[in-house]
Amino acid sequence: MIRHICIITTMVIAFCVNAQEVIRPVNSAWSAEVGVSQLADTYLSPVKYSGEHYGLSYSRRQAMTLPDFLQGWDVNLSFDNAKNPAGNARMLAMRVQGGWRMMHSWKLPKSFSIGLGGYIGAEFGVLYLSRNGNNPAQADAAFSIGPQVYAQWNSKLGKLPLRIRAEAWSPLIGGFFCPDYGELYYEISLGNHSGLFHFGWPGNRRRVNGLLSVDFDFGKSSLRLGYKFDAVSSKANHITHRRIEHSAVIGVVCDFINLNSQNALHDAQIITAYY
Amino acid sequence: MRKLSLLTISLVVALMQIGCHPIEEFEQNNQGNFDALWTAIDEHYCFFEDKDIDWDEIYDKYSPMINESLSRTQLFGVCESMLNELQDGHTNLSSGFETSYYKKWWSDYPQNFNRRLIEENYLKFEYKQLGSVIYGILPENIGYILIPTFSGGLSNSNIDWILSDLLTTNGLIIDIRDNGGGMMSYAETWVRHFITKPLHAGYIVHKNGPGHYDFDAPHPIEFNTPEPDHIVWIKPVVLLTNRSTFSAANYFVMCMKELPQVVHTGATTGGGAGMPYSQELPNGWSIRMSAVKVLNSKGENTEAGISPDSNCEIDMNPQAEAAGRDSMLEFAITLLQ
Repeated sequence: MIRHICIITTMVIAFCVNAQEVIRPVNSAWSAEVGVSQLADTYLSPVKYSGEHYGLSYSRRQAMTLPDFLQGWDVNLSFDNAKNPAGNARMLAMRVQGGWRMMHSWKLPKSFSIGLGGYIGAEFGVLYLSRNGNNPAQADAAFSIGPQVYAQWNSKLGKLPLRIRAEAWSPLIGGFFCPDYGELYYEISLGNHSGLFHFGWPGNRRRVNGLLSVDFDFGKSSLRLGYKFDAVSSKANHITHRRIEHSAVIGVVCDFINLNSQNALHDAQIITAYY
Repeated sequence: MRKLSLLTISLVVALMQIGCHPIEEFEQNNQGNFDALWTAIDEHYCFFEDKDIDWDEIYDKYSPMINESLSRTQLFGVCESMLNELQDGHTNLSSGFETSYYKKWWSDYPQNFNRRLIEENYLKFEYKQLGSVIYGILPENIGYILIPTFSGGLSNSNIDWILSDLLTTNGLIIDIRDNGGGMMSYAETWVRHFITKPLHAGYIVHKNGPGHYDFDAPHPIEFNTPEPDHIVWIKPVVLLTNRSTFSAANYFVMCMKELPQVVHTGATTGGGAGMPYSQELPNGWSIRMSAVKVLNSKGENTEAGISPDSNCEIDMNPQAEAAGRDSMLEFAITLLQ
């Protein structure tokens, strides 16, 4: 028994000595978005509102120990300020959302790569229409699970390396909150909580979130320019909720490694989140 | 094969995502706005059955009056007339130039209230005021509280101060004549100072679909007693109302009538037992309508008003009023003596 333990220990030590240091940098992106939005929620008004959209995002990606897999999470804070067609009422929307995703990547010829995986995310927000009396606000809360895809092309603009990437995700299942057709939040506060939670599937809650970005690599960091599209439509209890946002994105992208890894950087194997 | 399956699933999901759920849209013209108004009421108004209103018939009556040559004010006039068919004080159409308002629920009745007369001849201007509430002690050692509105609320501590000032009195008159309502939660704060055990005050019933008969099961409205360090009034209470006691004030009466120490006198309240819900027309006009029913503990609708207790119904005597006396208040005083 002692002999076996000694052999295994020796093998492990030998493996550790010979193993090359593997570093998986964290690809972090901070971005701001400005654009236009269309808001509608028939609980508040049957009229569609349109206006401005603003947002701040942070996303993080890192290669996993599983070969060719990456994982990461995002958080986004957004604000919409929209007017009705008559221009005499304003609807405001605030929302925070976040999610975790994991994807498998495939390296393709000519510097192309694609990825496919899934994400799990949640969002919480509120729409506010000040002109309404007893129904001035509508909560926007949901969690979802769905597929995520990306396609990327590494190229150059002159001598400047750049990375063009399109990524999108869409919920397949989840859950979301919606009051009953004519139910006031006052009644919910009295304790009537039945029928508020809805199992979500593409028939009653649809969403597509896509980002087309170009990262201009300036060495230690990259400049991100992009276009973001986010559309959600849900229908439950005869209430239709819709939000469509188009926005321009500008951000900074950096790859981080931890300090311990930096000491071994000279002979390390670096596995980035994206090829 | 595995990649192909994943790709297929992704494509199916993507295809299912195409297109938003439709939202019914109306043209931004006179007919479109009229139809949007009629539809909003049709789908959300809660008292069609209670008031025996044939809304389709109302459409047939007013739709022929709509044409594109109508001015905005003319269109508003037709819409206002249509809404008045609902005979509902909680239903208003608001534009940039006018707000429609059905008045007959109170204008066809005597006003039965003269605030100056009470302040001058009964309280001798020596009342206290907290928020919009005025209160004092009448010569018969009866406490008097006038709550003119529930639009602004008082905290439990505020109400403690008022009740503690009146603790030495033999009984209390709560005058909510001309109280046009406000927030139900403010009314509830008051009610909780008069209960010694949890109160089943009534039910709330919302619509669960656009059909005229689409209602969810009634949900009970229950109040707990206030925290132990707050004052609970258990001496006799007389509630004084008139036709202009409406909406949240009507709700206050509905709740208070459940209590054994409360007698309701004065005139039948104005009702307003449908909680208003707001919608909007393409031209930006705002529509407010009764959409959620509030029923009493017996499941009865109080939209038409709440009658005073048996043998307690009284109107203001005009001769007495001219002589500086409030016959309704004096009747309330006799009930406490």
